[in-house]
Amino acid sequence: MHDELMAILPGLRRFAFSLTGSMSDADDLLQNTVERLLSRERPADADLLKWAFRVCRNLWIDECRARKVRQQAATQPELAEGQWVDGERAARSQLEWFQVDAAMATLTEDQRQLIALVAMQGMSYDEVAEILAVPKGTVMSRLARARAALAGALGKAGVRS
Amino acid sequence: MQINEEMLSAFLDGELPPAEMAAIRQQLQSDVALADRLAELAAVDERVRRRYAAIDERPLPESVKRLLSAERQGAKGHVVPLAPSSWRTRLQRPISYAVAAALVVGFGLGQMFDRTAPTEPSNWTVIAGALETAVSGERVPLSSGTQLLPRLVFINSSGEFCRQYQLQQTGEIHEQIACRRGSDPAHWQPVASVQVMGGVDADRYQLASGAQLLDAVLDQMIVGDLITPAQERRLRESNWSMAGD
Repeated sequence: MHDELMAILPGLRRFAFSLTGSMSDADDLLQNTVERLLSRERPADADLLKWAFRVCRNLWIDECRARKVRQQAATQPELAEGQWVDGERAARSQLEWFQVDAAMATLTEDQRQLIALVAMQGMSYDEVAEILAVPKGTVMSRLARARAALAGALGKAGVRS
Repeated sequence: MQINEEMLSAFLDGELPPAEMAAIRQQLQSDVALADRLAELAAVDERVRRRYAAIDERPLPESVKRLLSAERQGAKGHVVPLAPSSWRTRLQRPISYAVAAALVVGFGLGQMFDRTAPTEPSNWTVIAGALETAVSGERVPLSSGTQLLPRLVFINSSGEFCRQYQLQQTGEIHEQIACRRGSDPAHWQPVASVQVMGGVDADRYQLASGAQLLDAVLDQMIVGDLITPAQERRLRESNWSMAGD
């Protein structure tokens, strides 16, 4: 399983980052996810990729319930912004990152997950429906609303890198 | 056909039935507003992808590496020595950081990881020759129309000098590691390679999962500190005969 896990790790990590909005929280979530994946028996019919994303998402939902981090970040974008302490910001367009973070913070948790799985990971609607345990039609309609909301938020911000 | 946002979004993902995909493609040719809206939605995806790929540049947490390393040892029944993290620390210094960040491939293209020698023997003589004399960070054109960019020099657990470098040839990019063995002219032997594809615009690049695979190999191989530029110069001048100090 090691090699398989290594292969999906970068995607899983970006997914964790998109859910948490903070690199350090993302790495904590990644660690918990990997721990869980290694300690549990993989469901017989489960594809590692889908199982891993489902585990990651469920852990994050549990974490949200416990901490209500996301609500805080959404209502206080500057708080989420303050969590980026990584050096690479200096070399990147901080404004661009800030705008995308702020736009993502306007989405609901469901919408953010859809954007992360489809737009970032390139998963099919069937795969996403399975991971999120919702009908395919729901994936399609929620995703369209999420994209429209992001386009609106980013369009208002105006500046592009 | 009336095309709503939901259809346009699904069109972007290639998730509509073939007839609807074709109908929208047709309409896009004449409907400027529709094409603009599609471009807007596609741009959103691209910006989100780029933003969250930024975490690739942050080293994988030691805790996660330990988990994976323990898993591998358990599975294969042998001990893989853990490399000190000093090379990574060094990579985070300004100049070397650019080296780490340069381990990129075009988004969405497949990577292949291959621990066997990926390079044709005839080319290898040329590459091995360049590895003997090339300076890390400086691109070297090779006679076969390929380019070599050495990145790092380190010592492996067998005490051999190894180099990590990028090999670029006709649309293909390989990130490879070779180690210097024996004293005959064949010196350098390929050890590992991550094959990636090139030809994507620079602003669309992002870190590849291949970089993580290479990280894992480097973690296993590197013993002690990376060789400094000054040490590397002395090594080249002495035909790699003295130990790094």
